[in-house]
Amino acid sequence: MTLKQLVSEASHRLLDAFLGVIPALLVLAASLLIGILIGFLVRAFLLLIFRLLNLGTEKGRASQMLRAAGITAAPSRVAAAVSFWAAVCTALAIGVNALTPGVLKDILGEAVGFLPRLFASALLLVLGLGLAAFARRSVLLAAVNAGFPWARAAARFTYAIVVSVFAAASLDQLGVGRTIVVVAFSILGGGLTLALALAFGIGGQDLARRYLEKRLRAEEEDSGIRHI
Amino acid sequence: MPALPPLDEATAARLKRIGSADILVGIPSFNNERTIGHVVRAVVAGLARNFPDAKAVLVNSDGGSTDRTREIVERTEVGNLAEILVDAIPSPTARIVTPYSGLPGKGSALRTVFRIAAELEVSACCVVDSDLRSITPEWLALLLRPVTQHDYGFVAPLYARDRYDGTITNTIVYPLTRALYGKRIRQPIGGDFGFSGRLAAKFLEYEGWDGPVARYGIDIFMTTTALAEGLPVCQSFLGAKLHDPKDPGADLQPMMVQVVSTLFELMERYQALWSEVEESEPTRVFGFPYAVGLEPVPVKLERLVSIFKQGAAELPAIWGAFLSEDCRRGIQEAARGERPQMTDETWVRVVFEAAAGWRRRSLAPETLILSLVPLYLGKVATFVSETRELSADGSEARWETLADTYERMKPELVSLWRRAERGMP
Repeated sequence: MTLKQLVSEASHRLLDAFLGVIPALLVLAASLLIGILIGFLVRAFLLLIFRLLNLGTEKGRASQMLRAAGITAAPSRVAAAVSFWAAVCTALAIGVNALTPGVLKDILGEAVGFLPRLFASALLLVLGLGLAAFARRSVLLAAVNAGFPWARAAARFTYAIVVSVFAAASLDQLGVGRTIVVVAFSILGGGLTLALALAFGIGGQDLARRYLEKRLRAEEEDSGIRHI
Repeated sequence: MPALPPLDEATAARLKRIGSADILVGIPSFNNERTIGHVVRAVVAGLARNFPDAKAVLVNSDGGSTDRTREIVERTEVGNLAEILVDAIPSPTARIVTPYSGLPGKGSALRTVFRIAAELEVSACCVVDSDLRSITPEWLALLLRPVTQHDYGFVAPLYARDRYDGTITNTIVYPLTRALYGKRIRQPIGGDFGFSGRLAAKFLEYEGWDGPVARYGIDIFMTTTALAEGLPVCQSFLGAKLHDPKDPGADLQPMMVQVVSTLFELMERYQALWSEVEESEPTRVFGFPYAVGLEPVPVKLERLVSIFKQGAAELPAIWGAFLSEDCRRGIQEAARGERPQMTDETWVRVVFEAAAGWRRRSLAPETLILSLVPLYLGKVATFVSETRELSADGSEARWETLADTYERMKPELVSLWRRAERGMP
């Protein structure tokens, strides 16, 4: 067999392989189109329901939380977008499932199978950032209004704790360094609690006593003003 | 028409037996066994002296007291009315002691009072707090007669108060209500009010009883509703208001949130009305004003200053969501010296921009109002520093100057509010 024949045969096999993929691509394109169509319908339906029930507007608490996490859209729009992409992913998964067994199906199957976890992980992270921002703000306001001296530190500490918890949960969803995350988080959390307990209980026992006494005699700490 | 608050079976049966009444006096209560006996005696004596021919009902709307409050209301005897009132002809006053439903708070308690007033089709009502030590029988005449004899729809109390007593009223509620609705009512959240039966029915039409109106927001809700509905409004001088030592639940933060969020919520409801009002007018005052020896309020200025300065250092990021750069600069300048010097203009701008921020939903309502607490304390600290050497009249004049500033700057509020409605900063 000459080199020319070898090249020609290889080219034919390559062409056959590419042509063999076309039906699979068509199936995927069709499922994507169906997914997009269903996604649009689901999104429109959800927006209608939200509007009819007057839910998920810019006035609600969910909106504040999303804004704190850096998302400015109304919660109803976020929920509709999430539903849209969920429909698209589901349709794609069905499309991949319909492919004939082979390497392509395996690769695409794994990629599509990873999407829900990626999705859940991103949602956890967004939720965590929102909650953490909320918690930081609440702690800061409560501490400042009560005249607590380490207001900013307390707020930052709260933020870090909430973000850490949600980041660990998010990484766990992705299956990234699952054991390392759990162990690191346990050590960090346990160590921190012990350190705080020791610091506050032994190192700062006078401070702790004074603080608790002050809180218990809040009336004396009041500004004296009668507000209404 | 929203659903009416439910009445328990015993109360409903009692109302059926009573049928109708001319006058109703409502007393909201929760664990007030120390003072409610005195309040009941004053009410019964006041009704006997001032309305001997009227069919009167006393309603105690109780929030589940675990002490003897309800028992005291039912059993308290007035004593010898002939001695107490000299020439009165005692008439029996029906007493209804009823629990209320809904969120625990004064607002929910009064909602049940309004319902009973509507059921009995009374022509005049008044409500008085259950922790009062200074109430006298004359209060009943002063709160009810303007309604029964002069056709007023709403009677607000006017008390003699220490200059540092009622600072949320003085810095926010009085001047803002005056600028918005054009009537000078000095104690819009005084707590003891007289009103017509028709207005009681109007209160029941409100749909937000699951919000701040169910708690401390009720007082400003009643006053604002009366003003916005265009009813004739007056004030009655009641002397000093002495009550039980501070309610431990009456902390500044929830109080501020409930009162201010009700104010802002009602601004949204009545925006078409208040945006057209350009100036205020005095309201008629009934009663004989006299000098009262008041218990001085011991202010801890250092504490006020410390919280204001800490707020100025820690909260600019939160304020950035609803306060303009100019306004924040004014705050920082006020916080610079040893003593805060928050000008009236800066404070009024803070309140106006907070109202617009609330309308725009720049922050969660509670967060926005809580972030105002250090600023409010800064304004109070400024006032305390300015008035320590002044007489009571001088201090009162200072509050009036602040109220004038609110009125003068009101066009800014109208403009800010309109921009906020369009979602603009």
